Amino acid sequence: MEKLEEKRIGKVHTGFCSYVQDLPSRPNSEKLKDLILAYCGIIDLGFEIPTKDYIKGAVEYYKGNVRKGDELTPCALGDS
Amino acid sequence: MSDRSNAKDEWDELVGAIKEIRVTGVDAKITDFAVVQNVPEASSEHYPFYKCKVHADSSLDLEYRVRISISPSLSGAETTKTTGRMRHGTTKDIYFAAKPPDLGLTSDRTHTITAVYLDAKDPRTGAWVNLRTYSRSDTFKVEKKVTCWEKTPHYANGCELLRHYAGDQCEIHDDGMFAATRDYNNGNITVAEVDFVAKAWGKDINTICANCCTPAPKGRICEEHDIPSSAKAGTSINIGVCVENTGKIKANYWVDVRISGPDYSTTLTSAKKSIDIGKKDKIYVRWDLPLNLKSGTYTIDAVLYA
Repeated sequence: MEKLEEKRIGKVHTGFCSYVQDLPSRPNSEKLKDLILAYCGIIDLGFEIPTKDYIKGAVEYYKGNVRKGDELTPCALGDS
Repeated sequence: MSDRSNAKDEWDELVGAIKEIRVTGVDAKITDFAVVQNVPEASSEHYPFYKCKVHADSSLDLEYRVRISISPSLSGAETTKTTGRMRHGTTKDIYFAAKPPDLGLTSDRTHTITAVYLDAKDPRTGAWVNLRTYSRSDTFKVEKKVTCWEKTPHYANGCELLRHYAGDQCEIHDDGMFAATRDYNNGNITVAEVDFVAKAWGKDINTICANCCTPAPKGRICEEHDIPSSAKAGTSINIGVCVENTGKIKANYWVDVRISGPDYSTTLTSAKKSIDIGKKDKIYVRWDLPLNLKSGTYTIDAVLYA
């Protein structure tokens, strides 16, 4: 057995991050609205939104501020 | 000029010295005779085997020629070297080289330089004139050529010698050749051995010795992966890692895929997959996302093995 190479090959977004990953490229206010409803427990998006920072981060993504969004959420959309 | 009284010759004629001239001989000479090294049979290049130093005349600018006698004679060996015009009072090192052909030797053969001649070219006539002859007894050897499957002085056979200096793809690159040269200079291998390595320099050693070496599998992680950009906890996804066979043999490859994210890390090992030379393929692992996997971005690192 010989180790030939080691490399970072990609990433997978789950839950909240999967939901917001296209916000920077395709801003969608409906998504922001649904996030707020889910945060308030009115609808279920299939994942948890534990803090307001998630909403704030989603807004930053919506505005195209990916780095700021990454700082507020567990997502890493910036270098994808 | 000295004053001498006249005398009569045999025919009773008067003869008289009118002037005395002092003649100084050409004082060019050769020193520092030395055998440089042995030479290999069936040589790939010229190897210097003998040297000496020519001292030009102290007052004349002349062109010199050095000749050597080798016993027994050696095909492919230089026996005459000219110095070009040398300024008076200067010196020049002269090297004799040889590129012996395949002589069919069964063992090393000793040759002796029995004489060295120093000639000078007469600038008035262009003729070479012998100035000095040195009787010598300087010996060197023509080393029996190295072959693929016979024992060499330092290796079980020529194949093993080549393998020692070849890379994992069975090729001898510059670094291997330099290592062989260094080993020769340090006395670790003979000139016949280093010459055999030189014959394989820049080549696959299997072209010199068939079936001598098996290249190690070689591959890289290419770019065309098959990775979903998102996944849902409680589901399963397949992650395909692009692998390219960059080696010289068909080989089995597998990958370890490490997935890490918020409070989570796992390593998945793929099955082995055979990939042809020069081809790209994807090697898959299946990731079962736990139900309680947190929202986040999970990075995927791959380690390729063969």
